[in-house]
Amino acid sequence: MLYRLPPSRDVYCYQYPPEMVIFDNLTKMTLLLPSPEAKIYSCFKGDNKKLTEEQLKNATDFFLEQTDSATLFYDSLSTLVQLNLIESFE
Amino acid sequence: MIVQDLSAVEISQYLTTTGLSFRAGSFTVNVHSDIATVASGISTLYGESEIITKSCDFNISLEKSPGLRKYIKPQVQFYLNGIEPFSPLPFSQALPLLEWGLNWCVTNYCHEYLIIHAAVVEKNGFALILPGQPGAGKSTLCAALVEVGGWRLLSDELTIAQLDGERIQPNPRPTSLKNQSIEVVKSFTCAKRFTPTVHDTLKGSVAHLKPLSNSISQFNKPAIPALIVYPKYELGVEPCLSELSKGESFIRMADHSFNYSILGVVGFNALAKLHDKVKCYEFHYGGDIEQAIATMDSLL
Repeated sequence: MLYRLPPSRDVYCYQYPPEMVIFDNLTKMTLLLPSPEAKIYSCFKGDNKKLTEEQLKNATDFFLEQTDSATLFYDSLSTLVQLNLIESFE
Repeated sequence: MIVQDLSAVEISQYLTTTGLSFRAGSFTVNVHSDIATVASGISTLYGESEIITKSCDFNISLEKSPGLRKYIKPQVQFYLNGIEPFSPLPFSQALPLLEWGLNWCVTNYCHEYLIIHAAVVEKNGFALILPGQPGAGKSTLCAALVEVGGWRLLSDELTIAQLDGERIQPNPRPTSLKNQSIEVVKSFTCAKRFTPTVHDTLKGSVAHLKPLSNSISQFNKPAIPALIVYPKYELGVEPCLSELSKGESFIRMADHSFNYSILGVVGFNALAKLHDKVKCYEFHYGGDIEQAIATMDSLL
């Protein structure tokens, strides 16, 4: 199943329950969530980054708190990708 | 007409004048060179390849470096359409440079496909993709599957996936073997299909193995992606196959891709559609080739 968020978000999601891979076309970043070691793959940098445990907890707490409805779920994913939280993790 | 229809003298004549045009996997190449090891290597590796009489995808020249370099520590230079994309290498590495250069051409110019650093083989119409870092044992396992296990070689080095994720395009070029894997593969393969081993390259000792005839002749017969197996060779370990999540595989494949970053969202969609069709595994194996082949066969 291929998901696309509203065009204004320009974020693409692909779901392999319970995982989801997200591509942010703005930052060209690919993100795998949730996983024991969330990995961020930044296209243009060619890096395969891992979050620290604390960073992951912060990220997934936000993610998990927003899963009451599909809309919120995708909003949360979108927000997570756009969050610049990711930037601050680097 | 195929390359081996030409005599060694004719091959050299073509190489030093108009260039020799032939099919190299899915692509066509015109090679110009006056280096003897390049001529003999093309004869060994591409003897069954079709000679091309029209313009080619890539025009390559391999030349001995000029000046004092002709005499002191001689080097070979690689040119694509007259441009030298990378630094010269020691002269003894002319043939490996041709193969590495051809890989570079495909990964840098063929963005109508998603290109992944992975071996890929086919059986019963289904493709088994074997991504791996250098030293993971993907070429050895690939050679065993093809030479002993009856799989068809699609590519030893570059998995070329259609952007709709529906098919894997064959690119049956010579298998690149390194260090200990050369002797391992020679133990179950005809030695005449190997080029002489070249030592002290950046990758260690290197030899190339010509594909089997059925792979070469079916260069235009794609396969349906069915399996992604991440091999890891560790001497003496018991074979161990474990399922890998599609999300984890997705990230790894993005990491192994040469042009995912260039394709952007198109590459993301291609990997997504590819993963719709496949099952993903990690496979640790030791020296037991028969067991490894049996394990891969069991996944079909």
